[in-house]
Amino acid sequence: MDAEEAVTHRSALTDIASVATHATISIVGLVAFLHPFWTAQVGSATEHTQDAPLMTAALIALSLIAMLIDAQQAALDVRQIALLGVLTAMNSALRFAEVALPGPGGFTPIFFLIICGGFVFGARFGFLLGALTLLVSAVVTGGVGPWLPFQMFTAGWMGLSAGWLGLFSKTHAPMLTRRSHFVLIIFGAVWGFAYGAVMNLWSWPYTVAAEAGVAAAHLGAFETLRRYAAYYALTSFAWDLFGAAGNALLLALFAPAVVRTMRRFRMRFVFVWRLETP
Amino acid sequence: METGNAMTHPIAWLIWLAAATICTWNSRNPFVLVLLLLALIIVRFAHPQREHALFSPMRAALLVPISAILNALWTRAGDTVLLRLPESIPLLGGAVTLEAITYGALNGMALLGLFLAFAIVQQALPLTSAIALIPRALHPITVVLVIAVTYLPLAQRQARAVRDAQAVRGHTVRSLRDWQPLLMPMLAGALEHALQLAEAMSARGYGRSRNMSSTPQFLLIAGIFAVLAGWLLRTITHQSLLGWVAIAGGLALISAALWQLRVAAPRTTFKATRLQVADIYGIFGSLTALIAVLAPLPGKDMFVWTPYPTMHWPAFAPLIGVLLCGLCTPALLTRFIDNRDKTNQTDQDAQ
Repeated sequence: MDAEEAVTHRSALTDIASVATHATISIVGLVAFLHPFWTAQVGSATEHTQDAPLMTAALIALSLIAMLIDAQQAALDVRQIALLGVLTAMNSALRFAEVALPGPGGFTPIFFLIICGGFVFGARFGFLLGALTLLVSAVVTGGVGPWLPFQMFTAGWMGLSAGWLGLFSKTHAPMLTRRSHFVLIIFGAVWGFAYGAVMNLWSWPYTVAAEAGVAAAHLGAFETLRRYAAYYALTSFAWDLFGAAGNALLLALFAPAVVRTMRRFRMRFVFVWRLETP
Repeated sequence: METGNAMTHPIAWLIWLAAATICTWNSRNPFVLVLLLLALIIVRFAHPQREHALFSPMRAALLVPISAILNALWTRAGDTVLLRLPESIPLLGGAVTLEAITYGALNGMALLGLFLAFAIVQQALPLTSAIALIPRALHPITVVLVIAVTYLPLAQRQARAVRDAQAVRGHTVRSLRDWQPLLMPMLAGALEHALQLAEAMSARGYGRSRNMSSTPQFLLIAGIFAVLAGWLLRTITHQSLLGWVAIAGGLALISAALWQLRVAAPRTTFKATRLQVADIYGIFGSLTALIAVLAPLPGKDMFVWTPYPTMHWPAFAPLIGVLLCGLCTPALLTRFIDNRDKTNQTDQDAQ
């Protein structure tokens, strides 16, 4: 095998590893986040279900590490490292401002930049920006806790999906089209609710779903889902409404200018040295 | 000592956090939970507070009544009926029982314990020590974090400078739209800073030195699946031993993957932190508490207590209670070091 073939072989393996990592974290993430539903389905009212929150946290943390390693292997060169660090700091400063001057309900300015960053710089970059923003801002504001891997994972998913959304946008022009802008606003609003709904899956077993594991293991998955919907509607819907509206408002007002600026800088960032062939 | 705490090594604090988390989550016995919360509160007050922290003990304490109320509204189990909500209320209608309230409150106490444990470690560990805990396998991510943490004060200064510059031009913030003239210069400045930083890093030789192998990623994936399979075996098929074997095998694969990545990322350490005597005592105290939960000691059954179906008095084993007090070690060490420093200072003043 000559050098060129070796490089091609290595590149193909990297792609396979990357796809396998994405598939793994998707499966593990779903199983871990949705554990209250399937533990209710199997009806295992034993001490094994009591360690479910710890096992869930461990699996989410391991999946997060796998995704970070995949992203750093495939995507990060020195320019992206610097860009990611600076954007993470800027977003964390917004979280700092939010702690000092809290907005109404679940309104937070940090998701706006994660969505725009993922949309412009791609899915892997979006995942890293989401996950690392939550990590740095938690360290700075004293918000580190058992919930942090879940927050990082969910914010990473947000950035990842924003990157996928960016694939469907016209990326050769710096301007954001009207249609893309509208889609981005809807996307932000949907994630405002989705972030709360996913994070509630973390807190739910601690507060209420003890009944699913101990007192009412006979509940089926559908009944558990119905109860979760009621729990979400009662405890979080109004809160997340402000988050969704805030995301949509920020994206409606600032996304065109921010995306345009980021795309201009991306052209300066993404250049490739090519060896001149004789 | 800068932070006033005697136990300073990040590994010692990590073991303490693991012990506190495992002890707290594995117990629903009210006596044990009260004991653990007392231990955590003692350690918490032995360390200085940080400004702008999201965590507030008073706010977190609300978790106990909130959890009790939510569990009471959702759970219909338990024999001691306190009141009945009208059945016409969907999902919430039915009997509210003393057992459900009790179990909810115990869940809230466990959650409060977890919050306290993480808050304490965050108070005790300096930021640089926390970053040092990140595995070397994640070296590029660590560089990103260091850049972010060091740029953060600069970003705040830049925000003030932009605000002042716009104010000189007569700009005032009346609505949300008026934030754009502040946001855009900040973003452009940040991106420009990133470009300059990247050039500076390249000029100093920072970059990808070699093509990374995909083997660690495949090992990592296999390890995660093995851990997941182990958990499913324990939970669904109740094959506890086989489940633990799968989990142990998965962790071994993950360790191998991280080790390979660690070797591929050579790094020099400017100032290595070493375990001090106080750290050894702290680790010993943490392990003592872990033994109380994990070892087959007499009276260990007291951890698994449930008020269902009828409320009854929980058991308590004094030996296990004493072992759990090992979690107080960081507070005792801090107190001991403080007193020793004060005594030394008094002696020096007297001389």
